[in-house]
Amino acid sequence: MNPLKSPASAKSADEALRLINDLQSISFGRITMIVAVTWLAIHAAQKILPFVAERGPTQARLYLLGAVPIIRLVLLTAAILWIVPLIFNITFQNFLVIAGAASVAIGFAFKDYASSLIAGIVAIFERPYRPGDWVKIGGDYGEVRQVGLRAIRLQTAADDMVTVPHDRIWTDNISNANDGSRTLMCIANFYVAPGTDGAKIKAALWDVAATSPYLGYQKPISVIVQQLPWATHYMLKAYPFDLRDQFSFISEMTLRGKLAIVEANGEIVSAPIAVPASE
Amino acid sequence: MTVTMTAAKSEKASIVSDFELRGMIPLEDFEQPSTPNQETLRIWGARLKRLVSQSEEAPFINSEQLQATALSHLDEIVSPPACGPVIDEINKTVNAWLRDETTPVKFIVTPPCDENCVIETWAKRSGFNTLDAPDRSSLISSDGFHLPAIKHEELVIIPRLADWFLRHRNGLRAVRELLQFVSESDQRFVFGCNSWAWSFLVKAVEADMVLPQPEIFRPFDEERLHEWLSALASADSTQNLQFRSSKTGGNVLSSDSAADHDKDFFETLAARSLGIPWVAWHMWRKALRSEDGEMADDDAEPFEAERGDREERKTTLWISEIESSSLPSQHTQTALLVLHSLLIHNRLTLAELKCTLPAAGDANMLPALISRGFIHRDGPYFLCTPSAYPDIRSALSAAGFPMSSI
Repeated sequence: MNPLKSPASAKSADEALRLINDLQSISFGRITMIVAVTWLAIHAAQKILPFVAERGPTQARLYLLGAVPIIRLVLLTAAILWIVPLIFNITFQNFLVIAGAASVAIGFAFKDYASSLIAGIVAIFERPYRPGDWVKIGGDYGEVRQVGLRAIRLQTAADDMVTVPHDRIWTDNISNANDGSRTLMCIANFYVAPGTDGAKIKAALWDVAATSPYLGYQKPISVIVQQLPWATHYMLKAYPFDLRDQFSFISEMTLRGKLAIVEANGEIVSAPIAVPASE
Repeated sequence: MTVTMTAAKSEKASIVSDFELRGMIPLEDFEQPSTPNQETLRIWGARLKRLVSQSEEAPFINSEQLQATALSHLDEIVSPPACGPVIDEINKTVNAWLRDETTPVKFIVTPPCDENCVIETWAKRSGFNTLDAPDRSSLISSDGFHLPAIKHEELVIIPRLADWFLRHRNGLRAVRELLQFVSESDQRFVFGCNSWAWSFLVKAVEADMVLPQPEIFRPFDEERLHEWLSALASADSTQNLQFRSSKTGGNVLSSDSAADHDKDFFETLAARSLGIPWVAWHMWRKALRSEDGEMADDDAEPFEAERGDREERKTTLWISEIESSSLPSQHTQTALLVLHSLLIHNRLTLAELKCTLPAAGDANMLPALISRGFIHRDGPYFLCTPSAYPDIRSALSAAGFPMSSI
């Protein structure tokens, strides 16, 4: 010990080097309380907000669902910031020690997990998807039912629940059909034999969408016509008033569209099946 | 007493004529009367109180003692609304328009559930002929639709544009042909259309290109509603009646002084009825109760008011709280699709309704909706019940359906 240093400064230097507070001075009861309250609050938000969102006005649904991950992030951050000083003796030196140790551990053991956690935080701010959105990631298309810490859960039209880790946002394209809005474009495809009155069929298909009970009035209806080698392709594009009706809307437009085409003297054709030359 | 009554009547007349003088307003200017702050606070306070104490403030008269008044007697007391003030407004507006020859079309939007069709009533009273809509079954026939020849008259009145289409893939031809005829004609036209049909037609056939600047009557706020209902209830057959709140016991419709009536009741009624007179009238009629054993029987003699003088014996009709209805908890979406279709078309037969719904089986919801008071039958037609319209509108809005302006 340097004889010039006072006993008080020597003591504070020792304290600065100590990483963890004295076990006796750590309030485990308080930490337990913070963890319990945070868990309870997060659990309540995850249960109550979706419950209210499904039963309340449609206008508020996506806002309520979108609030869940934000609330969880805020509560977790607050809890960590509260607990860390209770356990660790936070100094600049100690911070470097903890950060170094954590980096090694994460780098070797929890690389993918940490990547997903960080991607989850980035996703909250970048918003490539929110609860209630309809997204396509890889080959999976479905509604985002839950945004967790590590992954999201998609419910597909076939009622499958697909878990997709957040770190897919680093590598994959995320296709979001509604991007936070209450509706999305639905397309009904029709393939009609060439040689029929295209304008008549186009007008009939427009009326099919315009008279659908599921139609939202705020967005436009359009019919796109494209000539293929074997048929004329009609794409009837319209928006339902609620995105949850998208499959009913497409089904309804498809069924009534087929009748309208037949009434307009059109002939619906199917794609020719490729047959190997040897057969 | 006679002098006071005469003064009150002349005051009423001056207020009514003031509304008449102002005429109709553009549709986008229609503002629904707001719910009074006190009423909003009372509703929330009552909910909170129910949560905490599970008890409610005792009403002035127990509701179990009251029963819904017999319909035939109600017709005597509060006759079906001719909506005189609205007809006067239409008259004023159309007469002014007829003098000014710059615009060939006058387009009037009416709120839904207009069972008496105010435009048609106005046309008949004014001696104008109306152009009847084609039979709805002909609108979607595979033979196609051809607009019948329209006589060349000074003024052509189409009171119900909603009757000219069906929300079916072939159901827009008639309304398209009619609008094309109007845009090419040199005649003058008055159109009437309900607000839900109008929202649909703007989207489906871009009707706002041919029928711009829709107008609507001024909303019936507390003051106007009181004047109108007082006038309706001041007929000879109702001279010996008094209308009292079952909750407070206060005289709701005092004929002696404008300041004496229950202002809060009319503010609430105006807000709940969205400023629509016939909805308010039906809600008012639905809320009328007589005491148990009295007046429910059509042949029964009216009973005496407990505070009445022997000379001026008055029958008391109690006005209960305006109740809300709730949709069936199962198949809510189907119920809303049915109600939305009925609002757009004003009225539909079962066969027509099936044409407008995604699945024919959806029409099976009708009995459940009738039993809950959301719709009713008029011969072969199904219609939305006016008193349930605010609840229907609120449910459709919450479910995200395309809405009308009123």
